Amino acid sequence: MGFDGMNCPNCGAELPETLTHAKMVACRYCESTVVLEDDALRTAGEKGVMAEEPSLFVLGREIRYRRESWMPVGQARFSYGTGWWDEFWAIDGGGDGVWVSVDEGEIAVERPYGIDVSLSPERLVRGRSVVLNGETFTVTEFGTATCMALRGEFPEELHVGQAYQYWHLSGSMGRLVTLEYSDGEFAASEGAWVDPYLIRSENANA
Amino acid sequence: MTDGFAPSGARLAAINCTSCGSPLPALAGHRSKTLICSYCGAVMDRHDGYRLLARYRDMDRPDGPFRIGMNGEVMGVEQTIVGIVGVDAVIEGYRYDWTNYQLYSPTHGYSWLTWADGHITHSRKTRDMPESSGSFAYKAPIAAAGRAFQMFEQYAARITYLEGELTWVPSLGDQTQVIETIDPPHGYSIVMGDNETEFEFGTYLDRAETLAAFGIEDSFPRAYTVHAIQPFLPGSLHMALSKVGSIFAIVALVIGLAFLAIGNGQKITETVIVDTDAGGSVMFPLNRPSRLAEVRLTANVVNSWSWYDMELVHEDSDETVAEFDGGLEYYEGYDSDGRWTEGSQTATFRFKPPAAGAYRLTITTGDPQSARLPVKVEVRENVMLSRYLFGLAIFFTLCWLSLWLRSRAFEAKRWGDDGEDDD
Repeated sequence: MGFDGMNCPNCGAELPETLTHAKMVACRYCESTVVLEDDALRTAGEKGVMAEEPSLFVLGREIRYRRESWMPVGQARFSYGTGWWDEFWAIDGGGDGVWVSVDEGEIAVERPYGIDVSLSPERLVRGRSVVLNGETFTVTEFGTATCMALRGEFPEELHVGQAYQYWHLSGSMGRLVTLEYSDGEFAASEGAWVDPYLIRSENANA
Repeated sequence: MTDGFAPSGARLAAINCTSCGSPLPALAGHRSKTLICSYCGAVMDRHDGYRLLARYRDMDRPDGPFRIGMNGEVMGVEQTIVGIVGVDAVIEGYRYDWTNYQLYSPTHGYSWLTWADGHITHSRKTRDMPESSGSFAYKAPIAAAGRAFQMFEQYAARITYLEGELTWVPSLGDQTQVIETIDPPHGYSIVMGDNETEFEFGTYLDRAETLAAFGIEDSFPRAYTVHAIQPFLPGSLHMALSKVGSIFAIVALVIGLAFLAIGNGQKITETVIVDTDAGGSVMFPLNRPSRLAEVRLTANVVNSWSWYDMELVHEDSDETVAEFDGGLEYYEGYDSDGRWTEGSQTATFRFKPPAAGAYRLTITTGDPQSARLPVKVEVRENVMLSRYLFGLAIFFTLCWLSLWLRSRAFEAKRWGDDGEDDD
């Protein structure tokens, strides 16, 4: 679908051209999140209040790490009770999207991951081994997160106030898999941890 | 008491100890789990309403320049000191202690600044596991974090002091097994606790710069030991001396070798005086004034000596140019180690002729034994001496090697191979 000047169905403001690469965008003018669905736009709720916090990642500002680069285009903030983390949707140097989770210097970069087994939340307890696509992982962390605020564009529909169960799984050589469970469905992403001291950005000493 | 975690900028920056009521700063982020009171040693759970978990009274704060609440730039990142952990370990029978300062940066998270025996290092958690799972034998190579480390030491580290905000729930006396590997100025440590193993990447920091970054005047005793990951950093003067030495050593050696090859000069005359008792003389021309000339005497002295007086006269002016006296002595024999010799049957006398022209060398001896020995007289001119250049080459080589020697001594001290105890 080519971009032909789409407007927010809530306030009528022009939506960014990059929406053609995303499924969801937060309108910069009103408090709406807008979802692209079958070439039609519909509002998906409020975008919430994103309080400014010091971060290496800023929307629209390229990040370089070793030989990779990422351009953050969407920022979602999740609360997990004792704290919160930011989940950035970013476009890498090859044009593919990655999820970058940022929690006080703990940074992981992950890509969507198709899993070949059926999982049940009850079996995913801390310390248990799980085999995904022939690779063994150990459940290292479990929690429930609630989406607090949204900004920018995302490849999937997110809703402020929606709760997700999440699990962090660790594999060999620093491999990381994150499982999310919401509305009866699992979504997975796989990747690795990132050393914040090796990140190069205009905001590196924010 | 409030210390909310809402990312709204409304987080209060102080709380009161739930045990003694003292006001305490809340400087760290939401991933810090415990707060240890600076006054009463109460350990409180930050994630559970500052519930009292333990209390450690009468802890003595370990030595170190930093205090909780100090801000400074470390590794290019603005950081705040939020906690203090004193640690000790017994290694090869010696007790060592050091102080770890928990750093917090909103962008880079939590890391450590360590003060050990006057040295400062920074370490942070890394997810890079060792790439080789071979032995951890002393000096064994360990590949990790894209670097080639060497096994340095392993020990059990014990917590001796706690204060401030920390990212885990510690207990006084807790022990972790630590394997330290080094690639100065970096280190890679494997820290094994009861439930998990963590990996840390360390960097040696310039002490003056780090203290200055925190606004601390450096009035602390200087570090006399070599830290495990301290890089060898010679002074600029020593570096320059070594560089100049390397160049001049080669130049002096090359010129010295050239002199050795062509510096023997030209033979002007060679004659044998059979009876020096009567005063023999030799006439010869010298055509290279101001260039070195030499008289070489050779006699077949064996297990004896001979002594000669010489006078060199410029014939044209009839002036005495030089007077020499000197002897030949040569001894030989056999002992339990085999044949031995001592001395020489040749002696050389050098002079610089003031002008070209004919010269007469008169040789006499008053010693009857010497007078009976024929002596060969050889005169050469345009002689060049290589030995001074070889001396210079040795001197400059020592200047050159001094850096390497100092580096070797530094490494010996690092590895404890210098025969001295660091304690």
